[in-house]
Amino acid sequence: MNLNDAQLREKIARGPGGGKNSPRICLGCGTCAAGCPMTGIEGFDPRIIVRMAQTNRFQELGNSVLPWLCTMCGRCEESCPMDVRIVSMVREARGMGGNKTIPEAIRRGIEMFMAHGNNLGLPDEDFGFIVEDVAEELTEEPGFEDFVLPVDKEDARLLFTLHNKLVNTQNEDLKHWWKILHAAEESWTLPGSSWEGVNWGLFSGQDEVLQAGVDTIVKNMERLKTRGLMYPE
Amino acid sequence: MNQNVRALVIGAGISGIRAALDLAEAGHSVLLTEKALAPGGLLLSLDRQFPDNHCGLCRILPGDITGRVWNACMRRGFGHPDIEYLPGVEVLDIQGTPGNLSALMNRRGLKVDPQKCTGCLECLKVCPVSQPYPLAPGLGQCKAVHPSAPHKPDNWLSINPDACTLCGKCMEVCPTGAIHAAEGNGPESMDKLSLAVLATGVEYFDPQLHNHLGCGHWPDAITSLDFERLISGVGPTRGVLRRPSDLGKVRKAAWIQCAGSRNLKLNADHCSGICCMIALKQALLAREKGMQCALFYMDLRTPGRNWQKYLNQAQQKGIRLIRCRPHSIVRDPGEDSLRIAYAPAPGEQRDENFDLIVFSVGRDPGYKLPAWAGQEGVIVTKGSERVLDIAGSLIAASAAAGRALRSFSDSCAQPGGEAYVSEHEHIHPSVLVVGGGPAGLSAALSLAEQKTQVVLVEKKDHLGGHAIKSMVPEVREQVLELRDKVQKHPEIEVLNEARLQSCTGPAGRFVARLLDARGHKREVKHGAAILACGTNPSRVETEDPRIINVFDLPEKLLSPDAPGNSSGRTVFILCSGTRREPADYCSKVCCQLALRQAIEIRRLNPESEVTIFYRDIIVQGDDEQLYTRARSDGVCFIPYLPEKPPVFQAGEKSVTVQGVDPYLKEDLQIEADRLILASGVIPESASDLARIFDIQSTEHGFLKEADVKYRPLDSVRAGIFVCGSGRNPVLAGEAVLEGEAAAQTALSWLARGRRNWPGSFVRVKTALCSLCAMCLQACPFKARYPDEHTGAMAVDALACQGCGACIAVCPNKASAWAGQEEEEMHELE
Repeated sequence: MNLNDAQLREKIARGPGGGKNSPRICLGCGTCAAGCPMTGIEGFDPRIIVRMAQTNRFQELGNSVLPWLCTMCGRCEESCPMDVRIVSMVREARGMGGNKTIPEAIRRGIEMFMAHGNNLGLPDEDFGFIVEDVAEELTEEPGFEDFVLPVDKEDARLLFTLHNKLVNTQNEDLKHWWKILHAAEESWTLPGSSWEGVNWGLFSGQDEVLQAGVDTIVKNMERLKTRGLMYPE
Repeated sequence: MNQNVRALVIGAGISGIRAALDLAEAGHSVLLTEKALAPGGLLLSLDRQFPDNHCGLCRILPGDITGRVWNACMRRGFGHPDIEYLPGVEVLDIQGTPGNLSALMNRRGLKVDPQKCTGCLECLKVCPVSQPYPLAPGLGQCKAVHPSAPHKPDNWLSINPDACTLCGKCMEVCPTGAIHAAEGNGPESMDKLSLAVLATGVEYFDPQLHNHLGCGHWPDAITSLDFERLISGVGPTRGVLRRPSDLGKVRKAAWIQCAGSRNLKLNADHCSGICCMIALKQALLAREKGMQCALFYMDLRTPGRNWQKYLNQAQQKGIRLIRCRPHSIVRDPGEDSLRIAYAPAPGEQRDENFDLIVFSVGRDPGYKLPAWAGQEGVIVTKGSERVLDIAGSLIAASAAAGRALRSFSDSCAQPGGEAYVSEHEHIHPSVLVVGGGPAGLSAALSLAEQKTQVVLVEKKDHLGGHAIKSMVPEVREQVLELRDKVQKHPEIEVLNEARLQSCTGPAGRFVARLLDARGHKREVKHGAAILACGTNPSRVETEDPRIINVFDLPEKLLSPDAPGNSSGRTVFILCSGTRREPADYCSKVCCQLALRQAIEIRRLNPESEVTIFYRDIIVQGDDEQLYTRARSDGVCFIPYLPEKPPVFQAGEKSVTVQGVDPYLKEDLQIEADRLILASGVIPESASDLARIFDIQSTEHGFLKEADVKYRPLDSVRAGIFVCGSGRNPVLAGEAVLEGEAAAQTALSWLARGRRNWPGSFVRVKTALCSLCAMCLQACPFKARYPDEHTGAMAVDALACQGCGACIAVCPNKASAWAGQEEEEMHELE
């Protein structure tokens, strides 16, 4: 994403989030900084981000580490008396930096996602093995003897995506979800491929990655004809 | 008395009382309604007012009122022979045409008859209703029947009709039968009203409803209105500052400014104007009681000639000013104080505990005038549209009274009688207005339209003052229209290029001597003088055409081919040379002017860069929107500290401006194509006028009023009035309002000629007078003069205010209280 100077100015004048709340309108009151969990860490302060955006130094901001110190929790935006969309701005600044500022873990996750449909780069076969294994364990528990994992079941009510950590290190947590769904007699399905529920395009500021993540979910919903989406991220 | 005019004034706060007094003093009959049972409005809550921390409500009563009003302290009630005061009455609607309005009113609830009530308070014990204490809703509950105002005796009880369930228990228990349903309760129509003045004031923001930072959740986070009661000697804690939650001692208190103001999320793109000064006053009061005080603010708004000094004083006394807004208020487990999280500088986050947190509340962004306020014949005081301070409210109320009378005389074929022609031999029925700016023009026109002769004296060869060059088209049009009307009005004689030389004579029989445009001597007899001399821009000492005074930024510089435009850079430095000695005051006009210019430069040249260095952006009311607009239009604002102002140097190619961006903690160097300096205004002709008219001026040369809060447009001398920027810097619109108010004040003075004057407070025993003239020196009101007929010093009854200074200073005891011999005074002891 490379914008020329004029486009940049235009973008800043319009402001992220639709134009009404450009960073220019910032009063410098520091309500954001007072509520920010990162203020003071490595010199971080939301006011610096807003000020750089105000003074046409958006590219410099994107190239810096500042947008990556932000946790994007949104406490600043919630309390901003001028309604400046600080989080959206941080996300855009992250996108401005291109690949070189994105932290290694996120960059690799995104690469994996673009190549394999999930951030771990887990082959569908391995995924199938892991979830069936957990499902089998669940049937050994009292009350869940009849549990059947609904993989790629058509016409279910909910499509259920997963946070990748549940198939990686926290398999046990899968059971909690499935127990609830089972007890509620929910009609749901787990996609056998492109099951990733974590969209790191949101954090990297890359709209194309964000789009790709959304697309895989939409395609799964169309393929399996589900009506709703359960998105536990 | 002109009984043809019957005026209705709605709201008996300070504005309504002022308007009612002005109408009554001018000889009209007045109905004054008040929704509550006690008069005084918001000021009932405010025991102490800056800058002297006293109450001065009674000072608005006319000087001759002794004996005509049943009680001079308005905190205890209000009465005036020509004003029918109707408490407990709400006006629901007004219809009709000017001259024949009818008002729908509602009387409600039970009443307690103070004549019968013995103050036993049995009714309080049986009342089953609990309601938030009306004067301080954040400080607890009281019964539906409660003392009507804190300063009233116990037999002055109110029953809040909104809370009362009409259960009748109080009526049963009352031993003297003092409680009864008010006679004529219910809606009622009042007809044949000539005009109405709406003076209900604004509604205040309730942070509890918005849970603003936790107000309403924490009992120790209260509003500034609650604080007034908490520190009041007759408040719930008898003036001892205690935490509402546990009555624990308050050691540290914090004020949080702009609660409900300057907040786009609350749709509040306005400044409430008075909260900065109120917070400073409250912090100073708390400081006097030994508290540590901190004030969280964004721009400390101390407009005009007076308040910068007050701010300096607050800082000297140890009030901490912290420029930022806190994020949240929490109470940590085990702690009894509240913790505020704030970030005073980039990367610097702090937590600090306070026992008491005060939210400075202003106008509720949801407040709207009633629909009937737009009815023809209803005049709305400015104080009902935005929050004004005491002086501002009084000025706006007098102006509204004047507008009401003028609109009425326009729309009626036969204005009622000879309203303003003084027949009193001692007061000459004409007014000398000095200064042809917006204040002088509006004063002259207001007087003339109320059938009073005016001589308008202007130093320059044209009328309109600086305002005819205003950037605001509406201001220009308003001033030009005023000028046209003044020049055409048969009651007004305009003397351009006139030089005033002296003004002599006792109050009401003044004689001014002047040289007219051709150098001819003129004498002007007048009964009153209105001094409206205005100010001039202070000079910027430079030869460099790129360094420009904000007042001189010519219109051509706003065009795209001017230097600094197109893709160029413009830098403004505000408070350049003002708000520090020797000009330690705020000129008020520069901020809004700079904002307008910056917006205009950006509009004409979207590629240009505009930077404004400022200390505090001081704009008030809806002018806040100028500041918001300038920011969103891309003007860069950089705050600076007075001890570290930006420096500039004119180079060959550009003017280099060096400063610091406090957000980025970076040194800045801007190569500016032009530099605009706001160096304030100076009252150049005010001190001359003060000398000629023998009134006081301030240390900076502004005309001084008799009382900065309660008699803002009177001078200490009876019959001499002051208004406009020469008194205190004002925007053009405010100057117009002040002119109208000064005219009304002058008319009340002229109208004294029609009344029976009670005589002087002081008499002179001529046989004892040695003509030592010590009384002449001592009298602050210039009410003493040598009487040619008696050969002794005499008292000008119209000017004497009864201060007693002459009696104290007289070595021969020749001066004495009229009607009270010394022996009688001793008996009183």
